[in-house]
Amino acid sequence: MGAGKRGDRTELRNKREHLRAFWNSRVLEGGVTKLETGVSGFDEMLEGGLPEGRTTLVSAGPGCGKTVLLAEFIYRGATELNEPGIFLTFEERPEDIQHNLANFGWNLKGLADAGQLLFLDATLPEEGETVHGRVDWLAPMLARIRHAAESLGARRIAVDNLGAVFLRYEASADARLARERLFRFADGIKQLGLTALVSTERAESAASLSRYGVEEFVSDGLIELDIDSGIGSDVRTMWVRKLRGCGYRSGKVLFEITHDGLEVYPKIPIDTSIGDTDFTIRERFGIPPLDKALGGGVPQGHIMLVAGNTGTGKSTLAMHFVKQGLSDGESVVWVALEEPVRQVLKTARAHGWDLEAGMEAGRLQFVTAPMLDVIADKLLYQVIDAVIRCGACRVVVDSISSLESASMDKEGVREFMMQLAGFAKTLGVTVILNYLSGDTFGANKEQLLGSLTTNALRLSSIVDGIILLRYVERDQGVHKLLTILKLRGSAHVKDILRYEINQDGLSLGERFGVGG
Amino acid sequence: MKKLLRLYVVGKTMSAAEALESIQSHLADPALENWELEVVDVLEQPQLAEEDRIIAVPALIRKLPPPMRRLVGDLTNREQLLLGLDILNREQETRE
Repeated sequence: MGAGKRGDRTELRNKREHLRAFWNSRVLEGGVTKLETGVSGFDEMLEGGLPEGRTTLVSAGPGCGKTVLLAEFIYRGATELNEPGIFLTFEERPEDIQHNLANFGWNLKGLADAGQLLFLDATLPEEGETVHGRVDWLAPMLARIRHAAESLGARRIAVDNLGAVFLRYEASADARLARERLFRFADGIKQLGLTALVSTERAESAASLSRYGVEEFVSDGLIELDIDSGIGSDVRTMWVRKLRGCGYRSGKVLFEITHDGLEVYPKIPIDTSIGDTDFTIRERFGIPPLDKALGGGVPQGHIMLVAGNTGTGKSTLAMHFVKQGLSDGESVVWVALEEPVRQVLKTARAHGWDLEAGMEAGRLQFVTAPMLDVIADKLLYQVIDAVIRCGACRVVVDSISSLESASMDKEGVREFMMQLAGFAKTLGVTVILNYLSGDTFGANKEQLLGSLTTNALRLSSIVDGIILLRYVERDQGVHKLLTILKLRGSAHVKDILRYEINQDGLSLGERFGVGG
Repeated sequence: MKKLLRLYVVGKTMSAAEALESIQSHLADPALENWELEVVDVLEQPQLAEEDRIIAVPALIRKLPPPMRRLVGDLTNREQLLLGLDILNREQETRE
């Protein structure tokens, strides 16, 4: 693994730590200490890590990434946390695991040779074995684990996969016996002071512990991994089913297997008590009549929705907001989901606005995402990273509707907005969300905003303000009209205002209607 | 060539004693004449268990001469033991 790659990882970790300080509003409960795994995002999901000195089961079907998770738990321990660990394998030969995971740049063999981790090989020997009657696998395995733990000074162990040993030796076991075995195994590991991550196949497989019901009753913790096919890629999720005596983030959490191991994207806890908007500080668009209509600008920390049909100038308006932010000496994050960054810069240049200078100064950061299978939670992390990195005061998302059409999960988009709003408020970051609304042509049922004329806006409770851009046909011409529908906690002009889009961008004219 | 069997047990348990007892009675069998027995307690010599990849006990391993063979569990049945260790194959057994 190259030095650059390692550096990046460290930087990421530092950032995460920094972010954790913002997010971790909840304190660990129950007096159970947590052992940091070092797996990116996994510790956040577990609110600090695995319950120390306990056994946590990972239940997953084939191809769900459990071996990677287990190996990374050991790898990060050895390389980043100065904590040697044991990898006990019942199915795959250690050489095969080492070979397969070398793709991540993990030199597991080298680390094993250097005494920083240890593979316990419990796979079936080449010559096979003949089994008659009852056998005892607990005592010899625990003896071997003890020996390994003592010689290595290990504090963590991964076991992949425990179901296989039950399949091999306990084929006739009933639920009671299986539970007793697992309990004794977990207890033996606990006695050795080890924190264990133990995998098992999901119920449909023969090598599963589920059929004994042991997952529910015996283990201290249970995490399920799952995989679904997306349009352009697989969508992986994990879910903490339980974590006895400990806090954790509930609900399904998305994760990816990257070139560098697992990236888990847990939900960010929203601390509404921090959401404190300072109405005396206004973020201006730099369009004087609009800023005036807003009572001086967008109140700092507000989430503004700019809704309008295609071609009404949502991106142009957002660009004004970016340009003004940059010239006010602020940093800005532009989430470009609609068009490529190059196109955004080109459009800006056409208006005579030099955004490149801001980019070069590191004060304008672009965040992009693929147009298929956007992982909303991952995007959120990217936005937050960018905001923290450049100390942004303004964020533009162009547009939420692209996210909606690119994501498979509509509820996820709404959640994305809520989480972004929650995060932005804690930092006093002002956010402009562009939203394509088919107002003129009638709204699509699938869209978040149905008819803007009704009060039943699903987004209304999330956003603090709404600016509506519309076309109207009149006097054989198409007029563009701007309305400030809502601006929470602040007085604003309620008139319908005419505007034009031209070389200089968006310019606001007189009230519509009177002599219009 | 040396003929060596190795028996793995864990601790001084009842089942360890039973396994040892049944092997010793089998060693009196003419088919196992000249076979040596080595008893290993995993608790005392875990590194040997590591080398032989012992997962379950009692385990009886034919160490020498090759081919290596292993039997796990109930060791009381003479025929199962001799077949499992490849000391006597089925044909020989029927001829005798």
